[in-house]
Amino acid sequence: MGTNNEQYIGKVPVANTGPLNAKLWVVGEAPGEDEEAAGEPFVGVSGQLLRSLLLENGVSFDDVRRCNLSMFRPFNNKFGYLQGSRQLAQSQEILKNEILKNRPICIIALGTEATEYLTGRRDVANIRGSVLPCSFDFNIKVLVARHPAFVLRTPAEYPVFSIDIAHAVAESKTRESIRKKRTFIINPKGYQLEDIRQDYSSQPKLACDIESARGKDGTIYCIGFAKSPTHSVSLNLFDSQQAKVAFQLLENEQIEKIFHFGTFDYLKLAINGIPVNNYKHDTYLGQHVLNPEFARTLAFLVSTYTNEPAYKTDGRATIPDDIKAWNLKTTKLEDLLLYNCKDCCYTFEVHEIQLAELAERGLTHIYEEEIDQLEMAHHISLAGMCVDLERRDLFAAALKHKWDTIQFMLDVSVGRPFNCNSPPQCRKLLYKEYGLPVRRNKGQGITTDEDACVSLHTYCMKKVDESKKQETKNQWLRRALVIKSILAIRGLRKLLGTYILCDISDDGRIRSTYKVGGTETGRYAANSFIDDTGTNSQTFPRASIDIPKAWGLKVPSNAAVDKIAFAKQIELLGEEEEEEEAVA
Amino acid sequence: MTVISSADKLKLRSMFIPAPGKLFVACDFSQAETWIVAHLAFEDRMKKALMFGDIHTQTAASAIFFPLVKCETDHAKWNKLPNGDRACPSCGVTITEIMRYLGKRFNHAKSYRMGDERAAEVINADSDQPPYVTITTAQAREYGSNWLSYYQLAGWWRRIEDQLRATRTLRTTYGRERIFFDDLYKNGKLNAELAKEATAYEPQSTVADHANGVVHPELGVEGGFKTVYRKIVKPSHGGIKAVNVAHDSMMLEVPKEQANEIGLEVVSILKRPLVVNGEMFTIPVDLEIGERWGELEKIKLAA
Repeated sequence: MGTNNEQYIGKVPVANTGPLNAKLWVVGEAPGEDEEAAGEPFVGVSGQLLRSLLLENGVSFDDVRRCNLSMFRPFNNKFGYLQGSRQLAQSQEILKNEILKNRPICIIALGTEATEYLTGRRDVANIRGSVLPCSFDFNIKVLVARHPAFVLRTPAEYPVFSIDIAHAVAESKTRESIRKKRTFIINPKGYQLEDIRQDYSSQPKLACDIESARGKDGTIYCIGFAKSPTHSVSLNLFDSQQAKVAFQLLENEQIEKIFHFGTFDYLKLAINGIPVNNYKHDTYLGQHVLNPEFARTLAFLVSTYTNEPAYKTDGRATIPDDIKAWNLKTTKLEDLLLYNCKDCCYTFEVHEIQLAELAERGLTHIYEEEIDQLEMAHHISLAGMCVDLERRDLFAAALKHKWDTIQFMLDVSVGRPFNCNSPPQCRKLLYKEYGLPVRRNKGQGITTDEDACVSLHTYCMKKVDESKKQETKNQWLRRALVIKSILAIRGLRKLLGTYILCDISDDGRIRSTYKVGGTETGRYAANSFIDDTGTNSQTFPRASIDIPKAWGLKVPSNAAVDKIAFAKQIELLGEEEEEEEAVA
Repeated sequence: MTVISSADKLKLRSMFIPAPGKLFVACDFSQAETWIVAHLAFEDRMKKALMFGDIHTQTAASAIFFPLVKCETDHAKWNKLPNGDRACPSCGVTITEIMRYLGKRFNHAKSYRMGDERAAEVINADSDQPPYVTITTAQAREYGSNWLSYYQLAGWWRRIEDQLRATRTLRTTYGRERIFFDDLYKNGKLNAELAKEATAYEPQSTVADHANGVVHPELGVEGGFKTVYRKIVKPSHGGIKAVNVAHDSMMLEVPKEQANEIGLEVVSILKRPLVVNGEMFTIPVDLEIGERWGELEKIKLAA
């Protein structure tokens, strides 16, 4: 797709419509079939969705200026056909002139293309809900939202889209920023630190957050506190005076602490010998009780509960916010402290709104129950379980022995060395050579994942039942066995890598991080411990393992598993897998 | 030192051991989700089997394999035979270990509206583990159809569908709420995946809250894992540790000499009433004690 796509671009222009002096504008990508027929933007189902949501917020569609980046419809509604075309360039020129001349207060950028044109950013998934300055005129606000067509295809996005539209309507009321004015204090020293200590020690509630490096020896760099949604401080733990104040505040039993997914912070502090008292609120749990279907990250909460723009990816790698992988080699300490201050203020703001919403919906008691369970969850996370190392080594050797045996049989059956974790090899064997019906994943890509293999195995067994000739029966049975072997080897690999050979803490125990509010139902979730050792004990398999009788429950020297060599082997197999997933 | 009964077959979980001088004490709610399903669906046969018999054996006999056999006592009692089979002294029906296993798998699959083909798939996927069973799709269809004729869950499922259509919201007896945002309809019909997820929600969530220790708003009775922690673990100042919680089970590491006593105390804390659809009942709790996870010994408890 590119500049020579005249035949793929509609001939009938669909002009922007609605009052030029409107305070609120919407900008989409290009007209669709309905729009082209009517000669007016946003008359199809996407437009209807937008119209109804604006109306819910007291704004008539007729009072909104409705525009598209392109006035011409691309073939099959694929925006790519317009890229580099003169039609797109002309339409954008008209739009830009209209915007600069009429200076609306707020423009809703619908989808990636409009967002990029108006703000220069394409990462809508990260910045939706944010109000950003317009690239042409910094005094025009641009609210980034998903495209309504995407929302119609993904109904779970509807509530979030609805929040974003309400936010845009609020923003369009005034040219002034409606963001709260906040005070962030970083790295306070001397009298300023003492003032902070006195002020913050007398508060009934403090929002808290730590920033740290990842891993077993992950350093805690700073601890932030907010006394309100608009005032926070980040204390640098490399400064002993600041560290002292931070620890005093955390330990203070009179002050209620508010965290966002404080399980991470609490455990991280606990393994560093820093106690936290009166941990009374958690916005992660607030979200879990109020909206279990939605994301629970602080970034998401900030985008739906506050008027703040996205900030989580500023100055750091794009990572989920509870992984906590700061690295001071790549991030300036000041940036980190500022980020820490923001987290604390926003957590406080979200917390206050959540408390009101919990009360309004009669869910306060469930929230309080979850908070009440945190102490036990933290205790279990820190307790861990002792490992009988001799038996673990026995299991590792037995599983590896089993793997080698099945692998040998599989290679013989297939007629060549076969890597079960290579999707292209699996696809070639199952779909090309065996001609089995292709299985697809939710994204409609061809897959040979576990579900697909289970389903293909059932298919083969059905064929075994249906076949009349013994030869045909045998052929299907052989295929079923090959699939079963693929599943078995993948299972063994996971069993060894995830459970049996996981890293053990220095005290000989395997730990997990237990997360209250980890699932929609209220069950706890668990994963490896916060220092990246351990595994998910909740899902540790109940299965039994056959130990070769000749071993007499002792690992023969030639069967011992070299953990490092094994990890390398898994890594090599995994690389191919990832590469292929990307291709798929 | 644990005596290994079979020299060549060991449970993977047995690599976990308590600290020296300690034992593992594990408690779990028995058939917890089935108890909730039975009460949500007003399913009297299921309730009766849960209260007086063995639900999986009962399902295998009455719902799946011998639906036409009329038993005067409705299989009120099962005698365990030396080979592990179970026999009804009243009508003579015998249920093998494999039949019972299939009864169990269909209880789990059909309560939450799993399709027959999928049920066959998941059972066959586990066929490399005891009791090494595979079934055909035709068999799964037959068993599934028999199951649905015996247990009457359609009314409950309809109520869930009505609720989804009306408000998209389900609220459990403990007061937990969930709004389902996915497509209500697909190809003109109620979205089957959504219906399945919603069906599983109430039993799973109710069991989670009951086990974790949420206080029922009507009953106000404390209990659950949270109370075990507060009453037994915390006051011990490290002498007793809670080492695992998974769904409806909890495991503690306790001093050897106190294992039985603590086990019974945990059971008494976990056994507390709850109310579903206006009916109060108590889910039984099983207790196991031992030196290795996966090789714990079941303790017989007085009813």
